[in-house]
Amino acid sequence: MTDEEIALSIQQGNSEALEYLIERHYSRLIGYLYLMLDGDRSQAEDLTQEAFTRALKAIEHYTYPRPFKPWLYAIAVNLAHNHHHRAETRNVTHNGGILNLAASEGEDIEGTVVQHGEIDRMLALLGKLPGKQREAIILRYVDGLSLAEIADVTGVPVGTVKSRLSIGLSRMKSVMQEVDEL
Amino acid sequence: MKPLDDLDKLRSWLVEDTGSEAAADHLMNVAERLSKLPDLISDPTAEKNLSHRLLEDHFGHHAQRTLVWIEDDPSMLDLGALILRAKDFKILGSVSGVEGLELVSRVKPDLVLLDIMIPDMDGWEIFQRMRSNAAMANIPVIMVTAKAQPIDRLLASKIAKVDDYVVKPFSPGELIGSIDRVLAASGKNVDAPSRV
Repeated sequence: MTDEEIALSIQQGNSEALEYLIERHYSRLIGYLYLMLDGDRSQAEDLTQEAFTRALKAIEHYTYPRPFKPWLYAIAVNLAHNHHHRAETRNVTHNGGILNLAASEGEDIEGTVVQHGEIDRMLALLGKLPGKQREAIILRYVDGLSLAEIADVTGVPVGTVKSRLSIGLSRMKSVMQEVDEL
Repeated sequence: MKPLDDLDKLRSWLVEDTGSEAAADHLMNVAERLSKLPDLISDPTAEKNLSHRLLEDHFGHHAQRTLVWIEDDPSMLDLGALILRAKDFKILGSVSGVEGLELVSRVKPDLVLLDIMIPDMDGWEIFQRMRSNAAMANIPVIMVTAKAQPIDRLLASKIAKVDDYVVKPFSPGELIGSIDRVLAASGKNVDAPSRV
């Protein structure tokens, strides 16, 4: 069943189909928001819920077979942009977020350190990139969106998306060459 | 297959985006690692809670909770289904430890009831495998077993850290009480309102 068919099914009263939509998109959507919000898990979870809530409200006016995924991601991208533009400063850095996560779960500590070491390294690498390039790379290589989908989500031409990816990846290559171990 | 599950496709994206085979080779490792980040970042418990919350907030009804019961005695599974019928659970049973673990991995239920003495994979091994897998680590587990020695209770609660322990033969009240305690401790709504 496609996303569009699931959206239509929910619109027609099959609310349980919502579970499939969340199952398909939750991990990559929160991945995008987590990386765009510098590892702030609490905010990423809040904005992920907000994105699905807004999409759910909009499903009532959904016209099949309009593409659903770019629509959902456009909501998430706008939420991330609005979050960055807010006046108040956040106190939790990505390191603080990772420590909070490890402390609250009380699980296998070594596994947690290894897991969050990898997230930390990727956050540090992505943090070297300007916002638009970072966003394009996350949408492409973390979330698996096509060039056309990224263009649709971010509201810029495909050529601009390609340019952002090209420059961003070139920058990543330079950073990796400067670092002894990633 | 999604692009990020196919390394050839991932590489073709890198070549397309960088305009260079050499640059794509250089970046392949980090692109692969980026594609795996969602699995490291995402919390299955938060995902399930979101699903329940949206169904309740938006559609006005409580999502039916799912329980997986791994028990090699089919009559015990039938009894359990009868006892838990009024608790609005969707109950999925497995008489095989191996298939039961695969079921838990696939469904990611709200709760697992686990017998210790299962021929093809005992309950302790199933429990350890769940706890060592990020996708299943946060699923509450109640051990259901015929073993009743104090040392087994100590092993279960203090060392293995299962969420609770029920001894056969149990009364319906004992089983329901254990489930209520475990779900309350995990933050899940215990007495679900009637479904719309």
